[in-house]
Amino acid sequence: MSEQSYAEVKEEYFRKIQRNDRVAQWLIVVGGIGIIGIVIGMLMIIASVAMPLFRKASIEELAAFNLPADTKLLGLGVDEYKETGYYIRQDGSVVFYTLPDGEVIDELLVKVPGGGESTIKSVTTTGFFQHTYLWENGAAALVQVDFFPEFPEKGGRIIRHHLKMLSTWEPVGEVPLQTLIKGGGEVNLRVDILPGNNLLLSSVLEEENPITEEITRSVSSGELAVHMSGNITSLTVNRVGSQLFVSTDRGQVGRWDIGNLKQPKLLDKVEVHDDGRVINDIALVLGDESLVIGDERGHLETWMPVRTGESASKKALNRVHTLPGHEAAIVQLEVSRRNKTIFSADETGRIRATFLTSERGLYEFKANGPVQVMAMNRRGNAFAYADENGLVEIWGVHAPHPETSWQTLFGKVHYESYDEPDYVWQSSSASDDFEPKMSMRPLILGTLKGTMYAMLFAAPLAILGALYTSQFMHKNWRNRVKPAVEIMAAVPSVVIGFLAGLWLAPLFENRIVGMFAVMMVLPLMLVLSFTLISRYSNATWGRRVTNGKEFIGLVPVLIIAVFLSMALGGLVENTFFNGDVKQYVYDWREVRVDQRNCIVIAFALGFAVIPVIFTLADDALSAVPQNLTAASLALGASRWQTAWKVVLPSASPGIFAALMIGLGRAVGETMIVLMATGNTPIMDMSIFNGMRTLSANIAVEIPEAPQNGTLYRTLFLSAVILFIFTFMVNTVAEMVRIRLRAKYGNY
Amino acid sequence: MAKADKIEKLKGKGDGYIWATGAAVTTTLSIAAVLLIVIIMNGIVYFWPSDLHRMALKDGTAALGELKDREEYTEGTNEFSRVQLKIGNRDFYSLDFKWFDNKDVESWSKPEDVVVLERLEYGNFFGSLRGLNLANIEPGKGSDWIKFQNALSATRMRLKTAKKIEHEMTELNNRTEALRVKRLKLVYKGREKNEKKIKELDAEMAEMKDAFAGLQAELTEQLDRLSLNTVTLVEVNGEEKELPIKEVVRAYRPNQMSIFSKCAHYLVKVGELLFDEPREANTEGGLFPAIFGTVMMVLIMSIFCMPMGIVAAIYLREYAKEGPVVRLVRIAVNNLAGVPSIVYGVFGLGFFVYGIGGWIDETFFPHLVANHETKMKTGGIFWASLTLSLLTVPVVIVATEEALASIPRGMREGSLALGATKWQTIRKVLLPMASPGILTGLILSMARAAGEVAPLMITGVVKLAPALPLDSQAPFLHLDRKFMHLGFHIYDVGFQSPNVEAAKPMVYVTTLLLLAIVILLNLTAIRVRSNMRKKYTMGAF
Repeated sequence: MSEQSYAEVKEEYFRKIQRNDRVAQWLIVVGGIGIIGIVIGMLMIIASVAMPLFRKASIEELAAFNLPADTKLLGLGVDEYKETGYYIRQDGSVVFYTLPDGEVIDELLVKVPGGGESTIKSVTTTGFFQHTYLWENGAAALVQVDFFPEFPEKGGRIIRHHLKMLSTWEPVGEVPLQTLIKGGGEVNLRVDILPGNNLLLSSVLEEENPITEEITRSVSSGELAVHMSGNITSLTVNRVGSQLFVSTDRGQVGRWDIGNLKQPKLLDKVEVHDDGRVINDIALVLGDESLVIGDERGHLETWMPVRTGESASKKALNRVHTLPGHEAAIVQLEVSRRNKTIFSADETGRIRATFLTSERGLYEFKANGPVQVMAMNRRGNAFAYADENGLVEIWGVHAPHPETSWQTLFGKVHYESYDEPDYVWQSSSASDDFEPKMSMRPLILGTLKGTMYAMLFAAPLAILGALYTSQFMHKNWRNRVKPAVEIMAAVPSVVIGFLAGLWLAPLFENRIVGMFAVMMVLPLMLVLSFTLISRYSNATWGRRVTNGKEFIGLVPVLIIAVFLSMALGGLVENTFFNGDVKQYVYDWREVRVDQRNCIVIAFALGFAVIPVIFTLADDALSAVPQNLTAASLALGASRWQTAWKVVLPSASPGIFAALMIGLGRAVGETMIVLMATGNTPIMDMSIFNGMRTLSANIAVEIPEAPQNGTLYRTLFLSAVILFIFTFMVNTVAEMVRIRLRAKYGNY
Repeated sequence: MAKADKIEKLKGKGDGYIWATGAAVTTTLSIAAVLLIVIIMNGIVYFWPSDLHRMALKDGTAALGELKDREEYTEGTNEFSRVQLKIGNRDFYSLDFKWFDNKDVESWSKPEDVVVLERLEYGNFFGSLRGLNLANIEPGKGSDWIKFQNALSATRMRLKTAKKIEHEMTELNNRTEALRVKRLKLVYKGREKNEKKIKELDAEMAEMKDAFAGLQAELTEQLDRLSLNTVTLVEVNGEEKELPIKEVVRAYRPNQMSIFSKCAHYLVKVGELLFDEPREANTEGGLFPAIFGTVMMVLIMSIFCMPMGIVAAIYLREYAKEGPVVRLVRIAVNNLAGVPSIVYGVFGLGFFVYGIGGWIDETFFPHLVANHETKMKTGGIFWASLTLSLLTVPVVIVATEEALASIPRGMREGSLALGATKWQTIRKVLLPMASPGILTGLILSMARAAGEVAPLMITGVVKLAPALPLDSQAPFLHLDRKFMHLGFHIYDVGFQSPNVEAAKPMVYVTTLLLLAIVILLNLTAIRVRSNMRKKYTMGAF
């Protein structure tokens, strides 16, 4: 090999290794910085899932078209696929059109029941796509507009429509001013407003003869004289037809039980406002619990039956939510059939959508003049309205999380069928019209409660233990105890949780007094054993246990103390608590003692964080320079004085950091709390009850939460809370440790 | 004398407090010891075939079962004692354990001929054998017991052939499923265009369906034939029951067994635990799928977390300049270690499962999406492993950094001085020297992953997985499959099963197994680390 080629080879080799070096450096730097990226990215991604909870609702115009100028519409609606719409003309015919172009595709006539000819007197919307027709001759009908999709074999989708007569009433003698019909299913009820504030209630009972299968119709009816100030402005009936609500132009609202039509029973008569202003419209929000009331001053509020202090047995109508109002008089109210959204239209043509639970204004529309009719579709993604001039507008609506606001997440909310505002977590229920209750408060409180009790148990044991291990324990033992604690830290939390839930909790259940007795007996036994040993400390056996092995000598003391306490506990329970401390506590404070309570949690969760705190505190205590201890001992301080007055203060930032990190662990621990608490989200700090923590809540609920639903996002929000909390705690701890290391690095 | 005493006293000032701190250590270690003892005691005895005791009660009835517990209690001023028996026979008594007051017991005995039958349903049967009714099994000669044993082993043999048919059926099912997905894909691409192919597939699938039905019929016939062979049993109070022999898993007479046969029985049961499928909603039988799932998940996790951790540690120790950035990275790493595991789970669900999984489904499996099916957009072993690798990466980083830091400076300088590049130094000098430390980190992270449950619960663990993530079906490794896990098994069987009391022993066994794995891994890590420390403290000077 010549000199030349050797140099070339060398050159090439150098280039290669230098290239490798650069590539490696580049990769490693990118990888290293990527780690920070992951931490920040994690938070960002979790938060980005949670954020849409607070995003404003959005609306987009789907279609707008003008009908001939004098057309007044009597009803309208849009199907759930936003493909077909309908409106009801003045002659009562239902016109179907396509969206977005408004091309008429069908016109259906509604026949007058009982034959004959008559003109329409009124058409009112009395349910979801349900319109009560009233003819001049007194005949009436409830017409349901139905849409249903069809999926033909060759693909695509066709929206079919038809009309269904849910209830028909043949002409009557006295033609009412207005009529409301509830029909479909079990109910077939008609309420007529007669002159002079009188109501006529009629109901059809259909009975099928089991043999002939003949259906016999019988009508029962009763009259109801409404003795209220002012004239009736609006009335509504709940879905099952058992309650009637009436409002007047003097500011009164009444509620009747009309289960028995012959004898309607007045349940409530309330003045909504003292000034007797006109109530223009009332409506029942989905679920038939809350009554929304709109008045001439633009106030919008909901009332519902609530059990109040003095008459605890009876529920009376009470104001619950005061919703953001209008500047002008509210003339019409409509509710969503999908959730608890309320639509209010005022006389200037402004329509507002407000959510009941969160009292949140969602979106609003502005019509050119007073609104004639308005309706939301079944899926809650399209809203249609028509004004007096025949302008029909259809809007697409996107409000995925209307039920969430800061107030519902963190504040007190007065939920339906609750008697007072409360913090409640109850995410799901079988029924559709259920009001989800997603207050973070019980969960945060539960988390803090569990953490607090666990830290009360763990912190003293861990710190004192670390002090002993680092300062007094014999070196040989120290080398064994430290790995043992490390292995303790590795015990899977599911193991601790299982033991706590299925072994410890039942064991504790009957030994509560004994548990408390341990706390008193153990210190006493300690003092006793110490006096005993210090007296005989010059004896050989005394020497053997002192000098860094005290903790072994204490094993029998501990065992005796525990057994003694258990025996004592039984005795005390029999003597002072009539043999049943749980009953005693219940009688005394009305606190039920759960089997899975905070004592169990304190033990289990505490046990899980002890090794963390212990190891970090031990590191901090061991890092205190020898010069300091040596100086202290040389000056004549005793071993304890040195440890307590010199070592502990010097290491206190480190111990603080250890506690912080332990706290972070306790807050986020999932399996133990999942298994050893009852997982009941209660607002109670009692040591005898369980709780539900943020972390356990996620584990319990997220498998059931549909992706991107409100519950799903709320659970992500609780993950964000957990992340931020532990992030702060850990960062503080880490900064303290870095400073401490810098301080003692000089020694 | 007095002075010396005084000095002695001053020296000992506060010794009482030292004792108090010592008590803290004692308490902590005692709790740990109690935890270990409880698990070991409860876990170890489960498989031991204890003797059956028969109690004649004063009211004329009798009870038969394993002695489980004994306790004293007071009622008013009288002291009583009672015993707890595992009476089994869930089909007769509907509970597994029962307390009997000693004062109600007339006499105790240990009948020789009582049998224990492990069954597929209703847990164990305790009682005696009354007769055999064999339709198509030749039991040989001997006592009823011997005949029964022969019939039982013959039945088990025949069940094995039935199992083969079942296996074939599963294979067939999997193939049909593959064809169905293929068909979906064709339909998605355009029904008209692929008309012919779809027809072919339909024909093929119909054929398979027929074959499946044939197998099914054969299986049913075999099982029906086996069901004709029954054994008549009688429980302690004389109630009879006729049980098909194929429902019996194992039968033994504990009161006649010698200590050796009991040991053999114990080992067989341990073998069953490790290598068999679970039975009776996971409360009986083996843990094989859970063990397999755990190991598999930990291995996949290691593949991801090891390079990530090592790269990050090398960056921190060898490349990054000490300054605010590095401090920030350190804080970030420590934060990662402190983030609650459930948050990782939430992240895994939101990012891996729904995010990346959703993207994969939409990009590569649009035909499935069109049919409202998911492939990767659902929890599975891959997503669970990835989530856990994020969770354990700080462990590897910290351990690797520590290992790199403990390598004496001279090593680096020597290597560089000889002309090696930085990367060569790292690859040829530092990494080999740090490898025990890296290994420690890896083992610790494996231990952590093996014991972690919360994040898995929402990223792919199930109580009963229909198939293992690794099998003979192409592509052999099924990363999208859900899996079983020992830790989740504990939670699920202990807290979600309908009969917690009956499930408890199994949970203890699972706990013991999991704890043993985790502690063993940790002990290995500690051993490796201490060896490494010894090596470098020698080498440094």
